[in-house]
Amino acid sequence: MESYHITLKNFKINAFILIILFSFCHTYTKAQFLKSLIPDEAVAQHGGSIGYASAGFGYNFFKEDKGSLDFTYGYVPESKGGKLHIFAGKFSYKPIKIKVKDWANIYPLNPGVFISYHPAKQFAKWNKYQYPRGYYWWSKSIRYHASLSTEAKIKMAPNSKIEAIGIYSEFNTNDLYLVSWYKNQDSMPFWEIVKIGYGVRVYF
Amino acid sequence: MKNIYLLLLLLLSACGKVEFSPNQKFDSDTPRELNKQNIARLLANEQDDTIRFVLTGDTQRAYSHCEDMVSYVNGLKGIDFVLLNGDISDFGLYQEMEWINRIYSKLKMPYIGILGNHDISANGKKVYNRMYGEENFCFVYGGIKFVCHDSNSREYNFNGSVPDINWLEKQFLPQPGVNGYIAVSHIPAYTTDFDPKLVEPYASIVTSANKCLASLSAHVDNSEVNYPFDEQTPFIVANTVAEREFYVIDIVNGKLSYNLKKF
Repeated sequence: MESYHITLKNFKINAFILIILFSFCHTYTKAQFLKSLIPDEAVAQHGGSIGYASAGFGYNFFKEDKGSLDFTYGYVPESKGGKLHIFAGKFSYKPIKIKVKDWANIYPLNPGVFISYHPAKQFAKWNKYQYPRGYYWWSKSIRYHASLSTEAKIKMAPNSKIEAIGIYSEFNTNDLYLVSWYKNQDSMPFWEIVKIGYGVRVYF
Repeated sequence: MKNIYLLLLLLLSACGKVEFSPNQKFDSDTPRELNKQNIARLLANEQDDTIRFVLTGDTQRAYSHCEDMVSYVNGLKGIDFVLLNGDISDFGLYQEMEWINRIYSKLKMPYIGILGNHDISANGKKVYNRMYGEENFCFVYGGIKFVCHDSNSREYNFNGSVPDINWLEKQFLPQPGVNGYIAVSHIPAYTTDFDPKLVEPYASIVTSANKCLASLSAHVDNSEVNYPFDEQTPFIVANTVAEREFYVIDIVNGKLSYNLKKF
């Protein structure tokens, strides 16, 4: 039941990602479709629960590019508590924009959600021959995160190949930390379950 | 506006902690070898003729209850040490073991952490090994040898290696300066999570020595004392900390007695 539940969830998430991707290209021609697959940005991040270092690409969408979806691969070396390989899919929304003259925009509070996946033997699904049904209820490999980021986006010269460079910091927590905090709010401050990461985005 | 933002950014960045993954085995300030340090602290104590210790277990996700328990135990007299008999964490995460250690470190006396089935989840065993030490270990206090071991057979799919019978046999051999033994492990040998093939050899170790005063466990979410294998060897099982119960165990002149405490 547990594994079925997770598979269905994964399916829904994959479907959501696909719908977003295909929404770029409703009535486009093949060439336009292929063009829409070219990422709008490249991203690199330190920490933020998806690797000591992670890198990937992303797409911007919605009005004024308020939405973004990043796909990253992250690595944690043994010396930093690994080895770990982590894949993540991150959605974030930038509702507020503050213009700093002509050369920069600040997006002060950007809520988001992301999913991280740890592909390794010790995070594999609970073996149904080893455990009675419902013995453990959580997934070891998939974490569901909520995030809040803040980004400063510096515009490049108009004829540059790079449109802008963004630097950001991002707070996140995950399902298991939230569950841990929920019943211990009288003794555990919320910031105990908040982790941070820093990153750079290059907008094309 | 820009300056205020930069200030806010700095402030926010200062209060968060950079995490690489919830599954990382440690972070920059994770303690190491806690059991070794705490046993050294215990042995440095002046010993009287009573060994008195607390048996707790299953602290998993019960942080507020653990805080209450620690204050309560600190108010008790003559406690030499505290056993945290497994399921320190719920999900095997470094962060959980750090949170529990932070609370148990407020105890006036040292505490010893034993590996539970939940602690083996994900990278948990590696987190435990680095932070607490080996899962099979012993210490002798007041002439009593505490044989702490991994009995979480189901986590190894009942492969016959856990508990490690060969290792246990060696630990229960006669030893100078040792007048009695106590087995300490998370899963009691009479439950379905214990390897059925190993129940008999295990029972024979803890009963035939006749110097084994008790087997201490947790895991079953209940306070109970059973005599599953003979009439001499009690299996004393601590409730989860969330149920606000633990045992105080006394050993005087080789005789063991227990007292259930509610907090």
